[in-house]
Amino acid sequence: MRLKNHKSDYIDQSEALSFIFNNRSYKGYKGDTLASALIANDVLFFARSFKYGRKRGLMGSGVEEPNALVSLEIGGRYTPNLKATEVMLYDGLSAVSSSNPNSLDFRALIKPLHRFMPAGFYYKTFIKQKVWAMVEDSLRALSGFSKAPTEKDEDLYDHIFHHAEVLIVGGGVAGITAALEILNNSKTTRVILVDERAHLGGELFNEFKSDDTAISWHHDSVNKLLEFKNVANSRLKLLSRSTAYAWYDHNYIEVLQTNATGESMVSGNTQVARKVLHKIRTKEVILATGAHERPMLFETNDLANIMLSQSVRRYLNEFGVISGKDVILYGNNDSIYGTAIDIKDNEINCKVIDVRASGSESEIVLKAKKLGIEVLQGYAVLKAHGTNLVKGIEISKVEMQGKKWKLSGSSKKLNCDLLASSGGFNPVVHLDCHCGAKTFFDEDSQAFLPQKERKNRQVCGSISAIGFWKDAVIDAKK
Amino acid sequence: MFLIDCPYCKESRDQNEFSPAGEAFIARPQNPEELSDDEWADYVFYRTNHKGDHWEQWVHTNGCRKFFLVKRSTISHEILEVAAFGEVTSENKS
Amino acid sequence: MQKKYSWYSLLKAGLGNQEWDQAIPLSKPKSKYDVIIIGGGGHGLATAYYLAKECGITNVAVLEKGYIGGGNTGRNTTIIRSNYLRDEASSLYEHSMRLWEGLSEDLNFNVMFSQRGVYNLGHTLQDMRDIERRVNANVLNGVDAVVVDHKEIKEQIPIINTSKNARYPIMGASFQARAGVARHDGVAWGFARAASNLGVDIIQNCEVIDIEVEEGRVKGVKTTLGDIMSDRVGCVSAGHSSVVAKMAGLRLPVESHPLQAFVSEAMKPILHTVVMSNAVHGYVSQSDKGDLVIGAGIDGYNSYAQRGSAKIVEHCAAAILELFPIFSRVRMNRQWGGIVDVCPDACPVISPTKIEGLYFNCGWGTGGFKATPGSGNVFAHTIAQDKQHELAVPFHIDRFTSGALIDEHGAAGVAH
Repeated sequence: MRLKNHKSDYIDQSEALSFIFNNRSYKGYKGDTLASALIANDVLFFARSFKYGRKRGLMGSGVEEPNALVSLEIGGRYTPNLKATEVMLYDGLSAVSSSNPNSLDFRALIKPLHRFMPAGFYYKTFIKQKVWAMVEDSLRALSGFSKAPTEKDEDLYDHIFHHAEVLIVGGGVAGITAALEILNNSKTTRVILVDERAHLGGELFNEFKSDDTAISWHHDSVNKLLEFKNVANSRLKLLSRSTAYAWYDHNYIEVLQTNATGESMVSGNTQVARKVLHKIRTKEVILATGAHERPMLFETNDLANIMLSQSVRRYLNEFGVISGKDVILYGNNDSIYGTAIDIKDNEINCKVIDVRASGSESEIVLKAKKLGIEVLQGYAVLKAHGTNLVKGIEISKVEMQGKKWKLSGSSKKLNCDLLASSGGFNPVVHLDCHCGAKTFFDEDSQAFLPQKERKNRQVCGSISAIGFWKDAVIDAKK
Repeated sequence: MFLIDCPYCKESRDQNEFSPAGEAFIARPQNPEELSDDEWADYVFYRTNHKGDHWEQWVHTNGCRKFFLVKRSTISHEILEVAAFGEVTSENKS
Repeated sequence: MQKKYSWYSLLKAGLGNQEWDQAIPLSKPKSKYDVIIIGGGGHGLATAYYLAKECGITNVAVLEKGYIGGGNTGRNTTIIRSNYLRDEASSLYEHSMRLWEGLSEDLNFNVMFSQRGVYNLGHTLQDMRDIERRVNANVLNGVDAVVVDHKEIKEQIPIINTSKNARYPIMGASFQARAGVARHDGVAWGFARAASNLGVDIIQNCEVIDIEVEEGRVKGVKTTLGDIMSDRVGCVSAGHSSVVAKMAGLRLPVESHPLQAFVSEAMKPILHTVVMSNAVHGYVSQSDKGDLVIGAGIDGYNSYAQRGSAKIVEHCAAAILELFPIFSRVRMNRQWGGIVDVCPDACPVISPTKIEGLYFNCGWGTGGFKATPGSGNVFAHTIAQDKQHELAVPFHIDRFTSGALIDEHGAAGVAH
């Protein structure tokens, strides 16, 4: 549902857009992604699972989304396997689930046979070559997500070469700070700032409600960046909706910018490129790529409306939408309290289940308690209930004995219609590893961090496990 | 995608302009008629194929079209040295 | 001994709720073996399997520095065919093809060998002349092959662009119906499981750091897990062959180059065969999982880095779009590189060396996967009898001295 009276800089409620998803029409706003617009319309199922055809809901809000695969448009603009979380809404958009959750699916029938289908099922069966040759085609037809395209692409594409002294990947707090720092301290350095989203700032907007300094910092910093950009012979290039996807030898990096996912790029006599490949050669690379949230693990955690905590928070703050009325936050770190406070602010029921035992709480935990949010500390979720959609959970008290978690006491049930979890954060180290760099495991943050020293490469922000935005600013200034 | 300093053009240019031309310092035998089949095979076909810092030849195909020497790591692809022929030989190479 | 894979064992395990055994038992090295195989890829594991099965030598260790099938076996584009030009090469690859046809049953492991046919496209008159010559040679050697024209290609593959206006119009192709693809990891795991069932020790994370040679005879190897003795050592280490050879003081007629490939996201079936084109340079098939599997070419420089240049990938993607314009909006999911050891004549070396008891199986270049069972088979016999298997005779390393090269640049697929 869409929250009333919600204010967001990113959603333009004056411009309603209509779109079609799985043959039904809906309305959303400019600034929505397909995913957020569907949450606003109470659509909770996006696809079916690969093997047993179970109904799947959203888990994430961006590139990390594993479930919501859709195909867009038809004919010369048909595009398979897009993530609903990455498709910006446009008027007339038409999307189909890669595997329709609303139609009958016989794959569910084989579910009771799961005990006869262990890991490596196909290695153990159809061993006779003749039998395999007979069944292979029908098994192939079961696999795959969207249908393949059948017509020639009607769009155009372009590529541009760039040369710069510094390339910054990631336009969150750390990336913005690093860019300003370099532009301010040098008169000649050329900077390219690449960001995946449409707006600079990364996850900072989550702080806007509780922290006025975050708003002013964001406003000032983005304005300063624009000042650098909007001059003749600007030293700054801003590439938004762009992904740095490949790092080759000698700091040659390829960035793909998306101008459109499925909308027509023809207007009158002009046709604009749908995507632009930026081929960048740079002296230094600064990685401010941030981190992806990990989920908590428990039985049947694949039901719809079991999501990542930061994604629920992003849907709430950026788009003003939420997919439940009775929310439980579950995790092992402080970030779930931030989400809980934002949910509570919108007068929606929520509880927090924290695996960590009580004692030595941080400021934000105390703040959540003070606001009247029910907090259960030292509890773990054992199982989620519900057929397709989460209806409740089973929890139990846990404690650490030696190096192992032990259950203590009997389990109890709680009702909810949305469970958001956070099991910590994984720094986005992928790009760094393309060209031979290694990661190392950091015990403190329980994550793989990028190799410390590397020629012509710096890292800043939450890629090196820095959580708080002001710390990221300090880190980036170094 | 390497960035190679052409020792003749004195410029750093993209790999697209160059072509690799094999291991360096393989000298044509001075006494061909005295060579055994094994020695010929070694000269024509056998290579060090070194893992690590490796001297090789490149040619600036879409530039000055001259051949030159490059010392490059075959593990990290880092280019450690470039030289014109004669500047570095199999005797004085690093 | 492992449980046999069958519907019956599946049913029994399911009803009894039993745990399955570990599919491939892993071993710690003993101090001495009859034969040591360096390299736990498909070829190495196949060699060990056939040593145990056909040569009666079961006291064998396969030493792998990483994990089995983690090198080129896990990185290739799985194309299997035997339509090579020269008698020597086509006999070897056809031997392999026949083994493929019974491999799943032989190993008791479904390697998903899928004979969906391979088209080698021709785009010029010279291409077509070469194709006809190769097809005729294949037919004389008992290898199934036909020449097809562009109309027939279009009938069989409706999504292909056979327009005369293409930059390189398709004129025709050679087609081998028995050719196809297989599940690459399954091949490594199937051979490993079957070999370990026969008593072979499969040892992972065990890097060979030196080869012990005494008076021209091999004595054993030094590894990161200690010294292991054996008077017969077979080296099957693909891209790292020269590195292993150097440990024994040898040089090889091979050079290591990066070779790249990439796959798209999984889609419903659209391409039911394998299409290769040397001229525009790319080849593509669709895996059982649904992703397009696309192979590119090699970089011209030497490398051990398992990564190549952007221009190779870009060139290949352009070639695939030239052939299949409808794939333009399909997004690529993963891209990677491997190290291939390339011989000057694009044919492998399966050979004893100057050092007694030391054998090399290398130089497969860009097309070793298709030969996995055949290569392992003839190499096993070569090691067991200390005499080359008759099919391996032409692939002796001495051909570079005698000059009896087997030029397969045309049929090798990827330009060397």
